[in-house]
This record gives sequence, structure tokens and C-alpha cells, in this order.
Amino acid sequence: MIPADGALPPVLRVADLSVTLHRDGRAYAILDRVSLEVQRGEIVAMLGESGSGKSTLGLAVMGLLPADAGPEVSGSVAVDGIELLGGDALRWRTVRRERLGTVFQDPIGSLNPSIRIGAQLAEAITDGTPPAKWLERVGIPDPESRLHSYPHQLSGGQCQRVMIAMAVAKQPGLIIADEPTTALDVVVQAQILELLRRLAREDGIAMLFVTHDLAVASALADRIVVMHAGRLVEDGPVDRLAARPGHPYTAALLGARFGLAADRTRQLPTLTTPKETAENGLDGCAFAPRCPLVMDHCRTVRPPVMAAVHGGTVACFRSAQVGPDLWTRALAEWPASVASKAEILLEMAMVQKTFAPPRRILGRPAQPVHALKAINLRIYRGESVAIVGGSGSGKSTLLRIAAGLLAPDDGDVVRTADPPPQVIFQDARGSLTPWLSIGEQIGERLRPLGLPKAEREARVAAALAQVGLDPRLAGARARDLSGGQCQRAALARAIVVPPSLLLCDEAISAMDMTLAAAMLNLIGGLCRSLGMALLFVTHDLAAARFVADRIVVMAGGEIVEMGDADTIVTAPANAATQALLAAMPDRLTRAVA
Amino acid sequence: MIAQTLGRMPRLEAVSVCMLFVITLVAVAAPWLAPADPVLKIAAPYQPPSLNFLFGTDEIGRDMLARMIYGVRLTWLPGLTIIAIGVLIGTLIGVVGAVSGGVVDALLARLTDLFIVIPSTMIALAAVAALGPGIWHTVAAMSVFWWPWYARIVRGEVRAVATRPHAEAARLSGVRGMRLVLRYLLPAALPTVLVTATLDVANVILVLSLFSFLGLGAPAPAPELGAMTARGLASLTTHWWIPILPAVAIFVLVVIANLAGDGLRSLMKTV
Repeated sequence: MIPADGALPPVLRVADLSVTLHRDGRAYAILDRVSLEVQRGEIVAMLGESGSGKSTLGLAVMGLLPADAGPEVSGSVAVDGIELLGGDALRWRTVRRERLGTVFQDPIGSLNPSIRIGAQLAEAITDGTPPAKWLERVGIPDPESRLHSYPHQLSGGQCQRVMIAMAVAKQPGLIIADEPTTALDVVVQAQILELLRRLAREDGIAMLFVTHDLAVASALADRIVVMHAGRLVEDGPVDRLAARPGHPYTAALLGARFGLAADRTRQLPTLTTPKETAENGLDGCAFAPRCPLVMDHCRTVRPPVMAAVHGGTVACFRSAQVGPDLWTRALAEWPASVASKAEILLEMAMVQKTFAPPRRILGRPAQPVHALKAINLRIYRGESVAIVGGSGSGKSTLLRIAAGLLAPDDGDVVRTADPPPQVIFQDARGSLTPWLSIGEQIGERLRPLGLPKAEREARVAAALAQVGLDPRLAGARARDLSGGQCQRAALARAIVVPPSLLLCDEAISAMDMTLAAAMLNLIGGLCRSLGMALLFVTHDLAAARFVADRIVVMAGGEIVEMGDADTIVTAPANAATQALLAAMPDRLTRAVA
Repeated sequence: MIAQTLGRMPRLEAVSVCMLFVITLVAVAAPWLAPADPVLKIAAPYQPPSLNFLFGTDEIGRDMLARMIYGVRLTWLPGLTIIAIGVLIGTLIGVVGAVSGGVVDALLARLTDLFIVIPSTMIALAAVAALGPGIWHTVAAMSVFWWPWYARIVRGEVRAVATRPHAEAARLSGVRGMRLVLRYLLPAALPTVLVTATLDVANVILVLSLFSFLGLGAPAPAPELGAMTARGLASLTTHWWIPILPAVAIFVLVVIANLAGDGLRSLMKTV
């Protein structure tokens, strides 16, 4: 199917692709006339918040749309010039096998748990290279013996390396990678991104990299395309697009990326949450309800794709007015912090915790895990402290001991905080009991007060309003809410009776940038207005610096560095801190250029 | 809402779940549904199925249809009773073990293991033989042995849910004691227990029918499906409907219970 002029067709051409999926008998337009081309050897990052349709596009290209959602697809999808829509399943399977590589978010779940990785890898290899060579190429140490490992014997990062080896080993024209680093910690994420880019470059493979993280996108890609509400709103070369976004949504994503240099004195710019009822499929710009530059014209006419200043394309009538500072212009400063060194809320002295290994019947006994080794930490009234560390550094164990969920093996924990500290967990949905309503769970904290029912309901409604939720959601269950709403509901439960100490365990790690920024604003604002002290556990130094006065860095169960937030970020003294900093997506650009 | 829930199951399984309710209704309403008295001779013996007697008559001249309807009652209701008692005892032991932990938990867990490893059906058979045959002796003897699996399930589920963030968040909210158990922990085990119980109905019916087949159920004139099959066996080659129809009824009950259990299980997966 090579055109007459001899030029090769783009490795992926999507034209006017619309996808409608059905859930509970209702139709949802997930993609709305999306057109996109990926050239040979080009790395394209597709950026968008959750629900923007970016993952659906990846699935549609692979022909893996969920059949039970009754997908209706129109438009055109061509890989290497081979049209796939309307073709039979066999053609799609052949293209998938020979021309498409895939890397998914959940590396362990994507490998067959009952087959050794050597055998799984061998299936993907087409040119007869020994599988061990591939393991070596993706940086797995001791490849010969690793061939005989099962997926569960490898770490998440190593599994992802195996997935990448399988994707590249086919020597496909295009790799589709759907959030392949989201489940990994920052240091591993940086290594995986570097690996992906290096392999794609060496073998001339094009890549469509789906992500919600602008920093990751700009570290990796040649070109960025931005999805919003099922439409492609902007498309441009990575550097120029970041410097001069043409679409207000892209500007918002740029503004919400709280890098290490974000302004800590005021809130982060955030978007209003998208309406639950998708407005795509209608006329007009889908971004209009969230846009500060909206005109009447935007609501009635869908903006066509037009040339943008950065040399790419954009779908916005007011592109000329958009600038990188569009969203930061009118943000108020934080109220002053109420930290006081006079009163200690939490004191840990020589706290230790060791986890016994699972007993083994055969072989050498496993080593116990020293999660915490002699931790000393004080938290004063009203201050905010971030605990930063990689996975396995002991930071979550420390938080659980501070919360009283776990007893230390040795050492003293003195909590003068009253009411007792409340915890915001990473898994927001999991922190809400699925069979009880949000209101019942928030009300649980009011029971000791013995309030009459009407007053209790009023307090619950007030708490919901404080975290920016509709008070009518008191009757909803967790499954009726989005991830961001679940985290707000959990926060409402924590602050309905404001504790003097709020503990956050990776509370924003699972969120995309815009949600995370909104959550940081909310937590920062509530702590200041309610006078709560904050212990914020995270692996993300930028979030830590933004939210905290003081940063405590942990590694290997010990506190390795502690100090003023800006000092830690600008002048890290410890190697562990430097490693965390080097892995920040902000710095990735340099790492993998 | 019920229609929606059933709609999420495969069709055959959804029908089976409805059939569970129909069977229970038939069992409860047997005295009103049966066309004749199940223990009285009402016609000539050995009449094949016909329009007058849909399922024919047996060796004495009793109406087989009436006997089958009562037979369902005498199998289904004791079966549900055994399951209900088993679920109650099992939940109690499972929850107490999971919540108290330590020595109590270890003891209860070992007790549960003990009841699982002993050949319960044999001992129940011996116990009923010793107590004398009778439907309530059978129910009592089997209930004693029917709880351990439920205890194990409930203990496992409650222990698992207790370490989940939402249970921890409830504890941090100040929820304690019975309120924590009843509102935050136990409901997590309910779906699994419900599915297991539905699948278990089939097992109980098979064992109950075995007891009655061996003559350890209700005494002679009572229309039990297992006993009817056993007593009718002699006429298998000459008057097939007398042993075959009750045997088919047992088969149908077991299949329906199994399918309904599968249906509920598929719901749990999709939730």
C-alpha cells in the first residue's frame, strides 16, 4: 500500500475517529472526531486528564475496546497504511502481532503469572536473538538466570522492563504505551522513561505514549498532542508547545504542574472539574464551561483545527490570548501559617519497627525487614511537615505509627493531639466503606458529641461544602463518586471535627496533575484555616516543597536529612535526597535528552 | 432494581435465581398446592402418568404429583434450615475469632479445622441412626457439622477487611466494638457467604436425600424424595415413573441451586 510517490505512509493515521461506549444502557461519546498522525520513528505523547479519552484512543487503535460496552466506532484507523476499521478480526490480530507493540500500566498483571519470563519473551522475538540478550538490553541484571524467573519474582520495574523487551523485540513500527510508569516510584520511572526513549531511538520505532503527566510527556516526546473531553485540542512540538501553549487547557496543564520552582506563596492554578454529563458530541467547544477566555461564539461553534504559534495545530478561537501565565494571573496569596514552636503535638523518640519475614519451611530463613531504625521526630502545632522517600524508605510505616494504626516495637510515641490525628490514604476509594453512604461515614466522627440528628446532618453538609463537594452527595456511596470526589469525601470526614494533626499518606500520588493540584490547594488551605498541623508523606519532592514548611527525607528506615523545604530542594546534602531530586520529572528533560 | 441485578447475570443463571424463590414458595405452600393428600390411597396403584394423574400413582395408589410437591417441601425446607443454622454458627465463630485474635482465634481456628477434617457425613449418619430416624434429628445432626466452612470464610474476610483503609479510617473515626463489627467489618463477608450458601444448598440437598434414601429421614409414609426413590427402585423396570420422577426432582433442585450460586458469584465479580 505504498503511495505512488514512493513516500511511506505514516506508521499510524487516525482520521475522524469517534467512539461511543455504553454503560448501564446509556451511551457515552468517548472520542469525538479525533485525527492524528504518527510518523516513522516519532515519539508522540498524548496528554489528558482522566476521562479525556486518551486510553480509549490507544485501545481503539489496538482493536481492544471492551466488547461488553457495545462500542460504536466510526472514522478511520490505519497502521502502516493498513486500514483496520471495518476489517476482519484476523487482519487486526495480524497487525497487532506484527506491527504493534504495547506496554501497559500494570506490568505484573500484563505478564502471564504461570509462564517463565524467558518463554514469554521468546514468543515475542521474531529475529532469533536469544531472549537473554533482550533482558540484557533492557537492563535486567543477571539475564541468564532471570529467564527462569516467574513474573512474581521480579519487581514492578523489572516486569515493566520485560514488557518493554517484549514490545520492542517484535520490531514493530509503533509501540503504544499507556501510562507505563504511573504505577512505579519516581526513581524507577525515570529509568524506564530513559530506557523507552533509548530503545525507540536505537531501533527507529515510533511511540504513542499516553500519560496524564506533562513533565513525563515533555521529558520523553518529540511532539505532544493534548486530549480534552474526547477531542484533540492541541498538537505541537514539545519545546515550543510548553513555552507558548495555544489552548487554555494546555496552559492549565502547564500551570498545574507544580515543579520544584512553583510559587509556594499562593495556591496552584487549577481547573474547575469537568461536568459529569459529557458535552461532547454537541456543537461548541467542550472546554467552554471551564475556560476563562470563553466567548458566546465558543458555546455554539466547534473550533476548527487551525495553525498555532508554536508551529503545530490548535482548536481554539482565542488561541492568540493564551499564554503560559493565563491561569496564574489572579491567584490570591495563602494566609500566614500559624505554626508555633511552643506546643508539641507529636513526639517520636527512638521509634523502631521491624517486620518479621514470612516463615519458610525450606531454604535459608529470610531476613527481617527493619522498616524504622531509631526515628526521632517532633511535630509542632500548626506546622506542616513532609516526609519524603522512595518506596521501602519506611515513610508509610512512620505515618501509621504516628496515626496509632501500628504499634512501634521500641521507643516512645507521645501524642498530645486531641481529637486524635486523622489519615488521608493514597487509595481514596478504598478508604471509604463501599456499603455505607458518605454522610454516614462523615457523621461517625460526630457521634461522640451526642448532637441531635438535624444538627449532625448540618455539620456533615458543612464539611462537604468545605471540601468543595455538593452537600447532596451525603447520600451517595463511594462507587457513585469519581476518584477526586472520593478523596474530597475522605478529607471531609477528617475535618468535620478538625483534628490538630492531619496525616496524608501519598494522598495525591494516584491522581493526575490537575486533580493533584486541586487537592494540594485544598489541603493547604484547610490546614491554614483550621489551624491543623500536617504530616504529608510523599515520594514527590515538588509536592512536598509546595505543601510543607519542613521536609524530612527518609531512606532505609532512617531520617537522613531534615530542614527547611526550600533549602532541601535547592541544596540537598544527602545522596538519597539528591537521587530523589534527580528523578523528578522536572529534571528528566536533561537526563534523557 | 431486582430486574437490573438479574439483567447483569447470564440468562440461565438469572432464571435459576428466580426458580430458587419459586421452589421455596412451592415448599411453603405445599398443603394448598398439592392436588391430593400425599399419604392416602386415592386411586388404583401403578397408574402411569396421564391427564388425571399427571405423574401417575405409586405402588399403593397415592398421587405421585402430591407426593412430589410434599417431597420438595420435606427436602427444601430442612435444607434451608441446615444452611441457615450453619451460617449463623459459622459467622459467630468466624467473627469472634477474627476480632479477638490471639489465643481465642487460634483455638477457634483449630476447632474449625477439626470439624472440617472429621468425616462429618459418616458421624451424622451414625448420630441419626442412634437417635432414631426423623427429619429433625437429621437436621440437628447435620447442622452441627455444616458451619466450619462458613466460620473459615467469615474469619478470612473479616481479617482481610480489617486491614483495609476503610476499616482503618473507621477506627480512626472512633468507631469501636460491636458497631465496628456489624457496620464496617461483617458486611464485607456477606456477599461471599451468600454465594457459598446458595451453592451449598445443592450439597445439603444431596446429603439429605442420601439420608432419606438410606431410610434415615422421616418415617415411612412421609413423602421424601430420597426415600421415594429408594422404595420405588424395585419397580424401576416395570413402572419407571415411581423411582425416576423423585430422582429427577432431586437432580433439578441441585442443578438450580448450583446455577443460582454461579449467577450470584458472577455478580460479585462484576461489582
